[in-house]
Amino acid sequence: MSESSKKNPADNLKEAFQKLSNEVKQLGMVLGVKEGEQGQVSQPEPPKNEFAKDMTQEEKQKQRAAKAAEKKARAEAAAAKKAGGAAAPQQNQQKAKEPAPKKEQVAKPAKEQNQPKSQQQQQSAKPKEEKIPKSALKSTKNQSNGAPNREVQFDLQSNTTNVLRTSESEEVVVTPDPPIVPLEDAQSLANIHPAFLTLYSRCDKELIFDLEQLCQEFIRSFKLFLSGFASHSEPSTFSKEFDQAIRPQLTYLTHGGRWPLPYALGNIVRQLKREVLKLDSTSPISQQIEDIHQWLEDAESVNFEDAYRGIFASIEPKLAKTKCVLTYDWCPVVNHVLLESVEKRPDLRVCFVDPELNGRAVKHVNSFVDKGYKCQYTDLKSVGYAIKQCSMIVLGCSAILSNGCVATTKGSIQIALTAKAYNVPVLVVSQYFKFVDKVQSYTRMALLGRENIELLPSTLVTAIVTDIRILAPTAAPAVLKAKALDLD
Amino acid sequence: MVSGDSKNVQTFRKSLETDPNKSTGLAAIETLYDVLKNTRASTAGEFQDELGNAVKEMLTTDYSSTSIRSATNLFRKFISLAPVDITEKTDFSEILEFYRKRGVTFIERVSRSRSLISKYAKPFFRNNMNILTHSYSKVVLSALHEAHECGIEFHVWVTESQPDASGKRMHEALKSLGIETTLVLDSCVGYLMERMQMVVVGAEGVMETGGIINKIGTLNVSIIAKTLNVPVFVMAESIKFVDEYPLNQEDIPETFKYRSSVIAKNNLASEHPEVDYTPPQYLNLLITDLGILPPAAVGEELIKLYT
Repeated sequence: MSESSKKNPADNLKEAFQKLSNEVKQLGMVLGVKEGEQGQVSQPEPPKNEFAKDMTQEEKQKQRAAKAAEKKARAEAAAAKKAGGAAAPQQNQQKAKEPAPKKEQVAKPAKEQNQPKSQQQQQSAKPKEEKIPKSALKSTKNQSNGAPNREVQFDLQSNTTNVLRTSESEEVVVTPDPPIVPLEDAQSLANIHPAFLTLYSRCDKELIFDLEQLCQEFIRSFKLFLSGFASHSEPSTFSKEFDQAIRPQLTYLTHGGRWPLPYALGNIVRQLKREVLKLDSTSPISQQIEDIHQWLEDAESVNFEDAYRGIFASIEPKLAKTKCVLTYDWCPVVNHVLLESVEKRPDLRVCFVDPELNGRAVKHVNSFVDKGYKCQYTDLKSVGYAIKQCSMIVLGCSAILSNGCVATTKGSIQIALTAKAYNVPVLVVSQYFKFVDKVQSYTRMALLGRENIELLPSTLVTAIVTDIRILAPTAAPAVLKAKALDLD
Repeated sequence: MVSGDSKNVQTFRKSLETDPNKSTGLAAIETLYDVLKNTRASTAGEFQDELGNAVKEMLTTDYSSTSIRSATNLFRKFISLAPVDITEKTDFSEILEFYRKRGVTFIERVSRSRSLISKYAKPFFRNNMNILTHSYSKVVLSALHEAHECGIEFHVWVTESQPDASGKRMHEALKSLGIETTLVLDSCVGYLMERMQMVVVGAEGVMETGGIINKIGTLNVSIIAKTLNVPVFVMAESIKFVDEYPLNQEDIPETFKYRSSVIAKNNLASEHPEVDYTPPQYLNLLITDLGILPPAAVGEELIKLYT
């Protein structure tokens, strides 16, 4: 063999390797790995075997030599890194990184510009990154072509290992940017009255059990807010000033307007605002404040105590003929009505159905047991048995929509369907302020976000009992008109 | 006329007996108007008490208490709807004068309602139709009469409607008007229904649900019609709208179900009810003097009136 013939195969081999590695690099770039970042995790075996097929003896020798050189280079690289960063012997590594580089380390650009879009992603990737030992988080400062497709790349990386490796001298341990929360800065919170802060956090901690309680607490908070309100304006502009002052409070409660208030509470707020704008601007401010206070007092008594009494009066003749009445989940109105009925008619049997055992309906049971009345208690699984014994279903609700749909706790549809199957009338008790001019939508609500609501179709409801009369669910639009709840 | 009746009851009975075509509701209203004309009350409370007593007396008669109750309630509601400048007047006789005017308007409106219903119902009749009706109803009779007068030929099948066989009366009345008619058994409604094009019934009272209270057997007819997709139309004056919400048959007030004389016997267990309650899902349309309403609209009308 001549020298040229000896050299030529080696050269050819080198060229072939060069080509191959370029291709692989390109592939890596397509897949989101940047040039010059490929790491040194060696995966020598599979490629060697693959190529060994076509290799001559000389080539094998050459390869062995290359391998030795690579080992040496790796050792050098390690030493260089320990020293604080020597240039990585990229050329020598090329053979070793022939297998698809996407399986190797994944790079992450160190210098992330704080683009708002990437914040979200960063937050989502944060927990993963934290699991990786920090020593593995190494990054480079200068990436030749890292910037352009950073976001795409990031997505890919989050699925693979998050090792950041570089051949650069600088070694940076990347700590992910802190998650950026829309934190209310101190100034914006300073404008919120403590009563509303308390209300909000009580909701957040799920200390508020139902809509009724929420509305009552809101009115109470609003009274505190009103009593602490210091006006800086003339009596003639007071209503405008006060209206402006309410706004940030409501924005705070609704997460910056992201979620609507629960519909019934929204009704109260709407009526309240209307009342504020209607204030007599000629009377002194103290009188105007007194007017609002009076309205709140009235709202509290009319919508709750008086309404409870009225609802009981409406439903009493219907309950008078029933032997056993069933209710589902917890509702203070239902509780009041049933307690009063049992008080008047001790022979009335009452059955409480709970979504799950020891759920919210236990409150009903406790209220009955406290007063020494008998009652039955079961969970949703045995509703078929329970309904067979009953001659009337009474349900509470969160809202009544204008198409007659009733927003009630999840599981009510099961109750109503079973009731329909057994020909048992389903009554829904509701105050007037729960009628809303909305159709078929019940999204996540502010304050009671975790409340489980479903829409009970009007065909499954026999009647709605309000404090003045019993009406059909289809008559909801007439109620909205009569009570001026449909106006904005 | 029964001796020992009060003056109001006598007026009421006389009004119904002299004009057999008069509806119970209208007669009741006329009786109240009579009270209004002759009253010497000096306060609104006193006057309302007088009216209340008259209603109570009328309810002791055996005429449909559903109709009496609905008509008198609406009359009392209607006459007292007064503008503020009237109600603030100190002289009660002036207020009474206003009430009388309103009363006359109301009676006039009510007496027109039957012809209005006939007018609205006319487009529903077609030549060679088979129409089923239950029991005796003056409104239905006048509507059928008017359609026939216009030259529409149809065949009316009338159920006997026991126990009082009021269907026989209807059958006779239709025959005398020259309308083709057949008297059938109550129990053959199912057999006949497939050949019917529509069912027309009257009502003693239209409930807030949009359902009706009518002669017993109406529910059977309506359910069979619904099953066989035959439309059921109810003809009723708006004075028959009652502020009552029955949940099921059991929930119908007893005063609606039995005659006053029967209730007085205090032995309802052995009595047969006079009426049944047909829920709105079995009815297609209500033809009233306010227009043609779907059952669901009745509740809305009543809420407008009473809220």
